[in-house]
Amino acid sequence: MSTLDEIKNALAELNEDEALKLVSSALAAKLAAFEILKACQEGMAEVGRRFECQDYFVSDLMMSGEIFKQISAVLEPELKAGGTQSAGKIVLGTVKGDIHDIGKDIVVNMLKSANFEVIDLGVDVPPEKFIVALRETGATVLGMSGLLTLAFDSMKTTVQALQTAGLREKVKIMVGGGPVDGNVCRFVGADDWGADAQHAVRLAKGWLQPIHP
Amino acid sequence: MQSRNVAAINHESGNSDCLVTFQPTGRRVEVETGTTLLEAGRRAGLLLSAACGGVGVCGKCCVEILSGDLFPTEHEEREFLSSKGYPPRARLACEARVASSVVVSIPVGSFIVGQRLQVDAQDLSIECDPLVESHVMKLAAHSLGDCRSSYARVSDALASCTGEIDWTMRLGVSRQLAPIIQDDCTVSVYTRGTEIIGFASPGRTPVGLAVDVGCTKIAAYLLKLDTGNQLAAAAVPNPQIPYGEDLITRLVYADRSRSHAKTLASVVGQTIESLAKNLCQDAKVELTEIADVCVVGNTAMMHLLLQLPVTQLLRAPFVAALDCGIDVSAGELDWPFAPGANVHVLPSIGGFVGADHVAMILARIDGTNKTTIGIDIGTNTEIVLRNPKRQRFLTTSVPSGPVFEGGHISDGMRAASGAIDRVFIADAELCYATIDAADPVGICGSGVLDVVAALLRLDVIDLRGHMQRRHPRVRSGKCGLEYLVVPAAETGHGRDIVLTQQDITQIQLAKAAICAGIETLMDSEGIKPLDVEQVIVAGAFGSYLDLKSAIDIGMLPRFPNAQYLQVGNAAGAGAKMCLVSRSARERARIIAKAATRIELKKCAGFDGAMARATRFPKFQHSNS
Repeated sequence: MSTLDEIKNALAELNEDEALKLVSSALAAKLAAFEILKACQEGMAEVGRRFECQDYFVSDLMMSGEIFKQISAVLEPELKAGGTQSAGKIVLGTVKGDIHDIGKDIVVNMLKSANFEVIDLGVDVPPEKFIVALRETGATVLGMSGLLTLAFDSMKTTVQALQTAGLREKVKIMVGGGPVDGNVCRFVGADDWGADAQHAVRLAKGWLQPIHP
Repeated sequence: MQSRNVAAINHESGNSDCLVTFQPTGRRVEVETGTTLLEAGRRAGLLLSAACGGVGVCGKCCVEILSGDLFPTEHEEREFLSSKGYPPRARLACEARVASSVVVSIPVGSFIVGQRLQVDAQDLSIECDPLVESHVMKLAAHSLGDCRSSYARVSDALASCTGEIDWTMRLGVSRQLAPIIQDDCTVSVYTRGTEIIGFASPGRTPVGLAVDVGCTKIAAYLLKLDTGNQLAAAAVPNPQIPYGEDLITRLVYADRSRSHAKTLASVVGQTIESLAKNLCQDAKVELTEIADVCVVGNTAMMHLLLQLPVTQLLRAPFVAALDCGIDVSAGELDWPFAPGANVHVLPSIGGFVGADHVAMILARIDGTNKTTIGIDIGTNTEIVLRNPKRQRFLTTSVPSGPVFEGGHISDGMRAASGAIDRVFIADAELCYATIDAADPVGICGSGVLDVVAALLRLDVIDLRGHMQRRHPRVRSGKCGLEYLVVPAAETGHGRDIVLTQQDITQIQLAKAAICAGIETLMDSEGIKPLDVEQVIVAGAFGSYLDLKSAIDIGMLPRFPNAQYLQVGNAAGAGAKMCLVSRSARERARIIAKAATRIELKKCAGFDGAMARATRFPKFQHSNS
């Protein structure tokens, strides 16, 4: 098995120490950073598949996210130097008044592993901050997360603020979090909603990677 | 014309009252047509469980209709109930509205009363130094030769025995003056500082009430103020439970209107009053002899009791309205104790780390010279790290969720009759014990911990928490894999009791949050696992859990040099200390000031530690 396959497997098996060791030896062996990243992304995609088949669960997604975060940190300087292309930019955060971040972090890591550039604004994010980030980065997708019922009002306010700022037509909005469903999505005026991290990745792919003929 | 009549009659009957009878207690209440059974239950004083706050999503308030008519089922409610395997006569009390007089049966699992409630708050070893003193004095009757006011008689008498001449009193106390000085008489006068706060028969010594208001239960202790002797103690379920199982739901309820906030405050106030009445009866003292009160509780409970603003508590960054200690007159809370009695509410640390945590630190951590971790497990788990080399107490609160109270677990329940509370392995088979030795109807927190520890040991789940499909008791259920804990034939409600893969995930997240919280505090203080000398586990759940199970599943780290202690209701013990001792109150104030609260979200290592802690530790063989 090639080192890259081993990296992919270590990630898919959530083997933290093994994965980190393999990545540093791959770098030492002068393998290209973007190739290593690609292997990691494939491993993460496998984690996502297993989650959908109910072979993996939320705790496994957290673990895979943690491993991927560490590997990304190791690869980042090399990748910056190489100038790799991302699949698109996404601004994401937990809305004002809410600080739940376990689900949001899983979504961020899954999106990153699917090669999206994610601007993670953290928790308790007010509408203005979302708007500034969208303007500064030119991102065309916004993800809002929230677990508390009162987060829905914040989501709605944020969507309205986008409207006022003249950004609504240019930005696709997805919402997610424990109690979020189709009703909440309609209530807040988002374009779509996701039940889990895999769902969010599919939405982002649909919006940012139109299938070429 | 005739059809109009029918409509008119129906309309009339729509206004008339429906009699709702609840079985098995037989409690009855009259309500208007269209009232929900949950509301009817509340009015009947029954504690029906409604974890979601009565919005039809948790299914905990399921009841069975024995006779009578209700408005037809919403489609979603029916689907929900049949998906859970409930019989066709079952309804959700929060959704079902009465259309006529009805008889309703409440199944064991939907009933909150009768749960196991811990009151013990172990011995007090403290020198009494109460705020209230008692003076026995002879008061001369009014006469033509002595027309001093009743007040002057009392204050002069006090002056002659204490040397203090300026005595104040509140209106309620003044109103008792005339009756006590009718004849030549001897009375006990209770004072606090230079204030007269009440009167009693001669020789009576003042008593005090210490109260711990928990999310789940309220515990009260009656003590003699001069000796610290405990005269009586009792605990009852928190009557706010029907308004929401978790504190956030209750805060949201209170935030909706002033009258809601008032309701939540008064149900607790009344419960404390009736607890006090019962304790006084047991101890053969008068309610008016209660001369001092000390109350602890988490931030949310104290805000609800005192009707402080809660809007800001519900939104990040979760700021308390009040965090210093406060003295309130008992009259302001409508408590008929000594008319001048005060209620002292202990200070809190910040956010949701409340007065109960200060009380726990005071009672169990403050005096120690060992490196100690203190932990009170609940929906929010408070953790404190005491490094004796430093002045400060490092504290944090982790949102561990309701798992250990039976919430978010498919067959979870509170520690009530019929709950599986112990699980162990005998001959490679799972064995269980239930509360009251009743037929099992669900699993409570300590049982949940034990089941997971047993399943790990039997290799039914691996270190990642994955259930092994091939195990004979593992099967495919409605929501993925599940382990059959007790088959329907042995249960009290005729349904299987299972633990699902989703339940295990919930437990992993909860125990990981606690473990990662402990590790993060240790990192912040530079404490290594070998340095920890003592682990103090407080609270109701903390007293019943099996320590070995808690360590086996990795909820508590395994510290080689530490002694693990289950100390019972430490918050209650702290409240008692502050009741009888001025210096304990001062100490509580210092602890609250010296406590540093760590915001885990801001700690770089927390997320990773939590992800890693979702794993189960390798099973340690019995040498441990």
